[in-house]
Amino acid sequence: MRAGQQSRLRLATLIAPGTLLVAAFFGCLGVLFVQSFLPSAGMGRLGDGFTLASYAAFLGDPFYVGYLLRSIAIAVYTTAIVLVLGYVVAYHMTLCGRRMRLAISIVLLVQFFTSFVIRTYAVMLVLGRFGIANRTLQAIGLTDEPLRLLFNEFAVATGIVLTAVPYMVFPIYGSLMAIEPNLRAAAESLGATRRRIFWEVVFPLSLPGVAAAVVIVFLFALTSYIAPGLLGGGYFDMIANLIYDKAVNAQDYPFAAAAAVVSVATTLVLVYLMQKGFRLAIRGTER
Amino acid sequence: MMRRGIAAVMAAAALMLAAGTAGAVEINFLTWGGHYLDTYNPMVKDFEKKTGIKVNLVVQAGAKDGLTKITAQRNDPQVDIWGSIQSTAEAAAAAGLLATLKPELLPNLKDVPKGFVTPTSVTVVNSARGIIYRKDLVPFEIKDWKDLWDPRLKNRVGLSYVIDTGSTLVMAALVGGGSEKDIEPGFAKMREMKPNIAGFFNTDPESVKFLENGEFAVIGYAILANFYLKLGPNSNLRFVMPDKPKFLAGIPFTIVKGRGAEREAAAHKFLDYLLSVEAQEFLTGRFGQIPANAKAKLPENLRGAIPEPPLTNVYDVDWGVVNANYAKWKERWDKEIQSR
Repeated sequence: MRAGQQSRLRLATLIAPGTLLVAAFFGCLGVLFVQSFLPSAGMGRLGDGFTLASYAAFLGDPFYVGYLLRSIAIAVYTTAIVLVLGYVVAYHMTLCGRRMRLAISIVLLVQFFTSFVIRTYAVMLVLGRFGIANRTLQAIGLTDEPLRLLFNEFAVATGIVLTAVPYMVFPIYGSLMAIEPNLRAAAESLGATRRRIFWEVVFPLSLPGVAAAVVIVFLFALTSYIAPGLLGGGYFDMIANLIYDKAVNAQDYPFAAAAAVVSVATTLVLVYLMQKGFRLAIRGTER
Repeated sequence: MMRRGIAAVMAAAALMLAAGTAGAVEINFLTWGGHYLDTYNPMVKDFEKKTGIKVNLVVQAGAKDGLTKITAQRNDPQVDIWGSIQSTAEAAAAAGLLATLKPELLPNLKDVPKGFVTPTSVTVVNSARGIIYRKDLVPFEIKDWKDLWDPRLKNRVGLSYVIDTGSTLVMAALVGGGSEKDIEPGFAKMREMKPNIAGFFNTDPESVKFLENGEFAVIGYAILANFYLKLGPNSNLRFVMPDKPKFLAGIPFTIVKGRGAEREAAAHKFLDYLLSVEAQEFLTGRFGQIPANAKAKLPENLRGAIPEPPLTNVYDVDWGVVNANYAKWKERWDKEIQSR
């Protein structure tokens, strides 16, 4: 076998697994897309022909569109909260000592090794009727009886925020660590205050990491299933819960597929706009 | 040389594997997780020891999830035997997903009442449904379905629409003077109950967790099997099976179509094992259920938890009607009941 053939074969071998994965992913999306245009024959059965009925049922009913809008709203503000918290932690990690940095990293990494359901249950132990928050409030005399902290939007948002922080911290930390330390020293030697150094040097240079982290956390929040499922108590389901419910409980696959297609399309547009916004912001800081 | 050596070892290993598995039948058993898996695990091992047939346990989040799985696998079935509930078993049968049972392969069927057998399913056990509550969190003794509307239970009741395919709504309809064939009184009663509803759950484990951690003081329509081992004289849980009507769910087992004659025969063998007196007594002792095999004894601890069998006033739900309206009712439930 000639060298050129060998290198082509090696390249094909390397590319093949990824190509298969991508093909399987888009294949599934393709099936979903096709099913969204089929009529439902009830009880999980699909009819023949082409129809927009499922799209009309989803988009034409404010109750269902409400799931998507609610999910977008909660994803936007939880991402903003996680950004602030995550940035503070990441920034602190760049300034603190080695041991503290290790300790913070371990605390954050442990979350990746813990099941998402367990972490969500942990939130329940804090916010529950007999949870830490309610016991504390009662112990210090602020409330006489437990407050309803679970099964509402507050609980769902808290669950998303607490479980999403690690996804925000590490990309930002990576981009902060990549900033040349001499740049801070140079700004300082020119008389810049710490605040000015942060806002005019550090923050703009960390924007690529922020952009990546924001997209990751936004998608994480938007597609949340377990947090609303367990902490919303059925009163605050998000779009993923609706899609699951329609597919599994109602066995209305075309409706579930239509809702999923609309969600994916909306998400793509939102992520595109976010990336465009970040690109403009990064370009602005480069001037 | 080295490569040839590796290839030879791999070929030998493949041959050994093939020889080891030749003739050994494996079947997949789709059932619930958690406590159910813990119960079935020793049973499948015992069955394997007795027959040489390996049974793999496959978990379903709920009967609806199981139905979704076998529906999705219609063209390439992966499940041999499926433990379900009546509504989903009927839906699967109507969709042509189930094999017709062969009574000649089920010798223990002779001890099972005819009413428990359909062409595609056998009720293996009967599972009591009722109300379960925390004695320490409820200020009175719950006796009847109507107690769920008591104002003293404000914000304390946990409910589910999906568990038992809308049975909570059917119960409410019966309390309101209707039935699954006249569901409006059910919605009217559920709207009345809204102040008492603390939240909703979708799975059996959620109902257990939320009752244990006190988020719910009452599970308005509960499955005794999920709580049975937690009951007892020192327990703060109490199960009540209200009369008029009593809900007793048959747990049908079915064999999935299209897995080949050998696997189908093995699945029948496992089903017959589940109907044996020994297996029935083990199963019902763990779940607090009533055995389908007339020769099997009722679990000792079940006395007191439910009225003495044979049970009267057991409501026979028309699952055909429920299945046909389930999605439509669910939409209404989400809009009218599961909203603040």
